[in-house]
Amino acid sequence: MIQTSDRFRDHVARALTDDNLKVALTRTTGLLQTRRKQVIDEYAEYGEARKRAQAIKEHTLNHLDHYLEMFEANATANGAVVHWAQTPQEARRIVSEICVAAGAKTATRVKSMLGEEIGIAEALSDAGVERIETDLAEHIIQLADDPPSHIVMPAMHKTHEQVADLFDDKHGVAPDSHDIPDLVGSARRELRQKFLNADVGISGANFLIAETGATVTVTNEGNSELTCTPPKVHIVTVGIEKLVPGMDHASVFLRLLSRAAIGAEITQYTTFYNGPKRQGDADGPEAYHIVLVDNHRTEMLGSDLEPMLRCIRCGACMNHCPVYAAVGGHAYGAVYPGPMGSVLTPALSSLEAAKDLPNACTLNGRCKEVCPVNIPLPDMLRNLRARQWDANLPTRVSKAALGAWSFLAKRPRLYHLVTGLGVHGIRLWAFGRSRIKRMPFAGGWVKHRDLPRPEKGSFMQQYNASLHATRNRK
Amino acid sequence: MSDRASILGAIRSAKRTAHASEDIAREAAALVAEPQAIQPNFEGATLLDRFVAKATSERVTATVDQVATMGEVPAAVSGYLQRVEQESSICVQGGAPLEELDWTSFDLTARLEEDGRCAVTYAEYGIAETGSVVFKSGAHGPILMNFLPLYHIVVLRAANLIGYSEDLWPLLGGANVPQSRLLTLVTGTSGTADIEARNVRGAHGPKHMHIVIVAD
Repeated sequence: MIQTSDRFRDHVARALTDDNLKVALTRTTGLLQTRRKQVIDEYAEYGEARKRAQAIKEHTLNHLDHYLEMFEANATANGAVVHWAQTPQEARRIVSEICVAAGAKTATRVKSMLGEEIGIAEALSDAGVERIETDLAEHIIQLADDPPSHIVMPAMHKTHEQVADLFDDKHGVAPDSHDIPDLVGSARRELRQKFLNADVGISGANFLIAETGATVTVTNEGNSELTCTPPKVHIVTVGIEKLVPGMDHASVFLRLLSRAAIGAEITQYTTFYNGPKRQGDADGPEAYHIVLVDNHRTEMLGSDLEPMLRCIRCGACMNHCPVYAAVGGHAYGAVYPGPMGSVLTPALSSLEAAKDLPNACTLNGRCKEVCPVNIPLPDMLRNLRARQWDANLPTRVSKAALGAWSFLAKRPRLYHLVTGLGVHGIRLWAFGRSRIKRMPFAGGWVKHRDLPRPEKGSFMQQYNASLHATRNRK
Repeated sequence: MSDRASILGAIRSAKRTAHASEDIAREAAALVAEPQAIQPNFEGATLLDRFVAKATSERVTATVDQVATMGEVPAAVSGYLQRVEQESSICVQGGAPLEELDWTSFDLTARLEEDGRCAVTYAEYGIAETGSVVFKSGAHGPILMNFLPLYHIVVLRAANLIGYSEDLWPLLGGANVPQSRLLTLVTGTSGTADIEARNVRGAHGPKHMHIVIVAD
């Protein structure tokens, strides 16, 4: 997809007036929060597991060269062909060449964010291959020609009514009804033969196991196995940070990933791919390729962005982010939305191309709280703001405002005087009403919401008054 | 410079420290020592109790039958098919121990492509923690038998129940033994929550899972 994070403000303005989006986001994020909380509360060992998960990722990143070489050796011994790509262009070239060499006409695909990141769609169209998305959500957005809006549920922005219209229009046989189960049934009917007839199957990987050379996928639909088994070629494209040392380490993450992502103890299908078809096997691909992709990850190593490489792409941070819940994933204009995306997008592109993203954050800290690998997202977003300041990226208005604030903050008496007057002024402007609909100098802020009338007196004025009252009582 | 060399070079210059493989291996092992500290505790319940409770839970949605011997499996399958009002056209996984059972009362089919079919497959292990069943690809039958039918009937020996996924890895023979192309932990049926986060079963593969546990 083409990154449009530089138009974040326009996207937000559009998102906030989109009624369908509001309905779709309300129906999903609340449900995901409730389900996650329930399984985490039931998992008494969660705290220790989270600590270990963080330590395992830190260890693996510290020895990433060692584990990459170990993975390559073991995967090769299993019969895989391992490729290395520093850039998305190189990864696309490798995928295109494999498809062309195989004489492929169609390719089924299991959703993977790395695939989105490197532009798998483009690689396949370059090779003249018809792409068939098999994840239900990816199937929906392929038919709608939309980019994904969430890393676990890419069609989160669509209501079931919109999906029904889409399937009526695009499916060979229209859905039996517009109920959600019948919509799922219609996709099943549409995709079944395509699975079995594809020439190439493309997946990502949730984990790479260094000591066995396995790639691991976790899905609920079972579309990964249906994608990677019938075709004669299976291609895995995966980021180098997905490594874990061994199977026992994978167990730690399997318990955390589905709990954080969808509120389940485990997903329906956890599958380890160890190579191409073995001699005598009843099914399976003849060739198995793994493309290890860097795309700026090695630049993040050793920098203050390194903790982001721990991310296991569960999506919990976005499910719990008030900004994401208000504007949806498309507003971010990048492959990765929400809090993790606001950290990752500047790292994968540039600070300037994504300069609004680190500011689209209330610093409420929920993203870090729910992160299964304890990534300090709010701190990292704050660091990115500081870097923007150093790079002279903020607008003149925001620099002037911050300058004025810092002038006051360094002079406490003046600060209290001005804030006290400010509160008084806003109360007067409210003309006795409890909500303020129009505000000078803050037209943008009150455009989509009302400002509540402030309490009488600033915090410090109220605090001092109550202190005074207590003393007098004594 | 090749992409491989550039990537490894960039990692080494970011990290600067080289360690002996044995030290790294020791550190890695220490990170997963005492797995009990992170395994959901089900002390007091047997492996069988826990497995059945999880497999039949609202989140996994399988049904379970328990029989005494392998010879009783066809009758259990037949009973299940009657209960769910399915015709007795089924696909049975080849090789031991299923192929040698008496399936004469069934209409056996080799084709799985169309919907509405039932497949009977043999799980190598069952994991009590999550109610998962474990399959490996091989010569005994297409692995897709576990992913295509609408009704997935699984035969599992009680003796092959284990507690946790950590207990499975050593049973696979360790890191130096050639592994099957595919190893899969299946927990329930093919589902999706991709439309408005509503859980729906039978997304691409099985909509119903029935597990026949054999005591002997």
